[in-house]
Amino acid sequence: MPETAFEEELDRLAVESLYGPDEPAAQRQARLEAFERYRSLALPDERTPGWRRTDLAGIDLKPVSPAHSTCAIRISDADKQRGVVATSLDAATGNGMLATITKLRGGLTLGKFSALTRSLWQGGGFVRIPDGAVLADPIEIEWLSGPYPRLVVIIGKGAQASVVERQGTDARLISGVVDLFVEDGAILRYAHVEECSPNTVVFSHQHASVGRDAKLITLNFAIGGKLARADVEVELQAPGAESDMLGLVFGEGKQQFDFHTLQGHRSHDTRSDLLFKNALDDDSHSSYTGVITIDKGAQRSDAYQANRNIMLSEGARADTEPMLEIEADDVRCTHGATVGPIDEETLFYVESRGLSPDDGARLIVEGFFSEVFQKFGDARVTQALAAKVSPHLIRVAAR
Amino acid sequence: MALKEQALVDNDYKYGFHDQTASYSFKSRKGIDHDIVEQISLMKKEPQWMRDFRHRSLDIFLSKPMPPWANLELLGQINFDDIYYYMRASDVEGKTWEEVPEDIKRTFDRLGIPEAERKFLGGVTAQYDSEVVYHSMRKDLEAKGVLFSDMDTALREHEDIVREHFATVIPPADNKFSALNSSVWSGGSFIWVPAGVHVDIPLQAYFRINAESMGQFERTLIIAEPGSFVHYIEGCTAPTYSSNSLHSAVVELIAKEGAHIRYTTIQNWYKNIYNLVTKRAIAQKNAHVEWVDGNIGSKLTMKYPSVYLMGEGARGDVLSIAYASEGQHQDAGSKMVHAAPNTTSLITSKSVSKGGGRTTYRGLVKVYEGCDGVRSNVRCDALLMDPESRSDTYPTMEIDAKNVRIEHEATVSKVGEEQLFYVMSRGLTEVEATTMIVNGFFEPFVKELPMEYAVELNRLIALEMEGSVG
Amino acid sequence: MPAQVVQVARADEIPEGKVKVVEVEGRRIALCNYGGNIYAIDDVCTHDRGPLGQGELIGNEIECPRHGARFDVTTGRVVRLPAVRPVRTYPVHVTDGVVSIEVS
Repeated sequence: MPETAFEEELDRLAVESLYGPDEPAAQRQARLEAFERYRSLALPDERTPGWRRTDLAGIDLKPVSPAHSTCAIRISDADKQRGVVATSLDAATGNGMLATITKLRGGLTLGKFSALTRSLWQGGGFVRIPDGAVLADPIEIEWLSGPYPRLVVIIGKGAQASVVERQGTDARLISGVVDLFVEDGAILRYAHVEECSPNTVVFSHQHASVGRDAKLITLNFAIGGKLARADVEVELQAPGAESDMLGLVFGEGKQQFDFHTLQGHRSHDTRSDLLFKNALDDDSHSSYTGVITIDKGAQRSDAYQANRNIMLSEGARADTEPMLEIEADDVRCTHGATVGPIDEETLFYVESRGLSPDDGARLIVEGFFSEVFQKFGDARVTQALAAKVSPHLIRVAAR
Repeated sequence: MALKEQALVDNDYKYGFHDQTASYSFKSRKGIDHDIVEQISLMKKEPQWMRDFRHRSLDIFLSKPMPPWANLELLGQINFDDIYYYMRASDVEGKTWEEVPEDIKRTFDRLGIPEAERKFLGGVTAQYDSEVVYHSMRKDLEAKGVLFSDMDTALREHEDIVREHFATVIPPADNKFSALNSSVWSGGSFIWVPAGVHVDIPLQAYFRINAESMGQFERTLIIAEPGSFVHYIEGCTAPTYSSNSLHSAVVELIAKEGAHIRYTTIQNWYKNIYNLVTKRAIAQKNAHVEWVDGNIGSKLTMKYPSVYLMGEGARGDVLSIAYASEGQHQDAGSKMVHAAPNTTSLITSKSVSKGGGRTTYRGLVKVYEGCDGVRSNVRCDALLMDPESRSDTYPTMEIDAKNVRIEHEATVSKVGEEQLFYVMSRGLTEVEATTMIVNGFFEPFVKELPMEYAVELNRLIALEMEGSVG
Repeated sequence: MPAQVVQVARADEIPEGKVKVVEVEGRRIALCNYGGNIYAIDDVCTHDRGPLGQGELIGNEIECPRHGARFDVTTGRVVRLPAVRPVRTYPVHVTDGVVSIEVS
């Protein structure tokens, strides 16, 4: 679909009418607040905090006019029998679901692009897994069109499921938003697969809320785009809540990947673990900022964070900024980051086993990524992802 | 006072910590403007270039905003118009022992500080005399050709060396507080070590701080010529009181090829003080700079000792501790800039927060393109003693080279129950056990200090754990 | 790629000791007049990637206003911390009072 220029005259009236007259009041309110927030922020440039190391030469951040976003949601028949609801977000709103969610969220500080999407979304996707359902197969969501893809996933009490969301657009600019709600006792595995064209600037804001004794495992897999930026935030709201955040980036050419994560401990007795691994070739660049916040009173919280970067070429660049903001004392918090080339010793070892240096290097990078796949804990999802990154490794050279 | 001045002036010594200001009638008043800056410079009889430098720096200070990333709640309380930016000995000596806060006096008792020293630390006497210690040290240095004096004297007697190096490491525009210091600086140390000379005994500032603004806007410059070594120590573990609440020092170190500089600081300013310091070193080829930095006092300390590794094989180390109790914020860290290949940096930061205190670590490890063979290791550990306390860590790494090894690790935790239980089961009280654990936590730092500092620091920590002091 | 010679300003727009920033091929370039001669450097401080053009020209050195880094405008050489890398320079031609620079 040809892109139309974003009209500056897009005003409240236009935003209000995006959904239609039946929009629930709470939802419309959220939409308008997001729009005001969007308007209050300037478009980022190199001077904006957090953007200093991003090369914006030749990158146009001007937003696109609102348009319907559609996705294909694939659920196995067996799981359909279990009562999984999969529909557009519009339709879900009509059923009253979204209003409840909007109320539940509370104040989120939105960045410019996430505010944009939350105000201009149309269509979108919605998945609800009923209480107690243990799904047989991963749910696959594939975005087909639209600049503002918005997805909401709710997994009911005690349920278990894997959800894979894929974005492979070749549009100039995409800004997506994902809200995950993991209810008490549930286990959700969520993979966000970014495989956009080399011309695309893709933003993603993923926000998750994890309930009592519930567990969320997320995996951000990014190998596409010209500039891919993701803000991934998980809030552990009640005792027993756990989150594992995983990330995998393979960069080549002049790709840039900016990842910002938040492990938010809002309650006592919560646990979070994060492992983001990047392998950077050619002149690619990765920028990682990870914040762990532990609220006052969030005692006996354990939080871990690790960012590992392998530099495969002279032109690669990696920035890492792990941050801790701790206001409780009975906690255990560790974070670590490393940057370096393929380890020489490991390389010699693999070569001594008869592999050529370049094959050895490829094997090492595969091994580097395998830890992330293994932690995700669902081979049906990760095998497919390993197959996606494999062809890119062909060009990896040992030195 | 006048007699002593006479004696000093008559000496052959190159070092002099004179109060040259007695002859100039300076009207001490609050606030900062070009008039004050002009007077300071005229009074010190400075060359024109320094006067111009001060004026320009003042303009820069006035035009810069507060750093947005800092603790603005505390910084915002500074009223720049309500501060004396320069005071002479006679102004300072107006203070009486009665004005010194009680809790400081109690600590002096507990630490067994001698009477004369107490008056100095309490800000009651302008000068602490240790002529005897000084004489022998000075002879030794003179024989080696080492220059060691206060900054004002250095400007007068070694203008060429000073001019060549002054503000080359920290330009006035670097940040708001370096600009302030650049306009009203007074006092501070100057050290120049000739090539190949090793200064075996640590040089200390402690004994020669004189009236000049009681260490408020010190400017220190240390130049180590190729292959030389010097260890400089500033501050002390005993609490130090100053009625001037804004302290903003600038310390510049230049380690030329193969030189080694170690700079040790222990800061225990009273809780009314804002201690905003800019410390930076340049390390050239195969040079080695070490910052050993202890932050115990002040209301707010902002200090990030840094090393710019400019020559191949250079090395920078920072070993720092911070202790924050109620009402205190220790905002410390380090910057290591690798601008040459095969350079190394090691940062070890340990902090303890107690009773609502807050510690922050801010660091940067930056590796420029083409700097292969860089090794950098950062380790930050924070101990929270109770639920009221707080710790934040903000390390950043910007790596533009491939064949490097960059590692960072940080931990935040509280004193482990099991650890405490184990130590107490050996017959110690909870306070004794906690003290032992905290001393153990700080041990890597304490063992790098000269003996008398280490002893005093351990005693101070014991007092703090007891909660009987400040 | 061969160098292009682009006209960027009139010489009289840049008085001695002053700086004028122009945009060429999407790049910001600072034209500096030192001793009557015009020099062209990237208007980008190699320390924080912000603009240099608003800085003061002190003799042949331009000082970045944000942190005091300095560069020799005649050679691009970095002269003062906190910058540690030189700034890029461009050959300048002045003909009939018109300043042109070579960009590639």
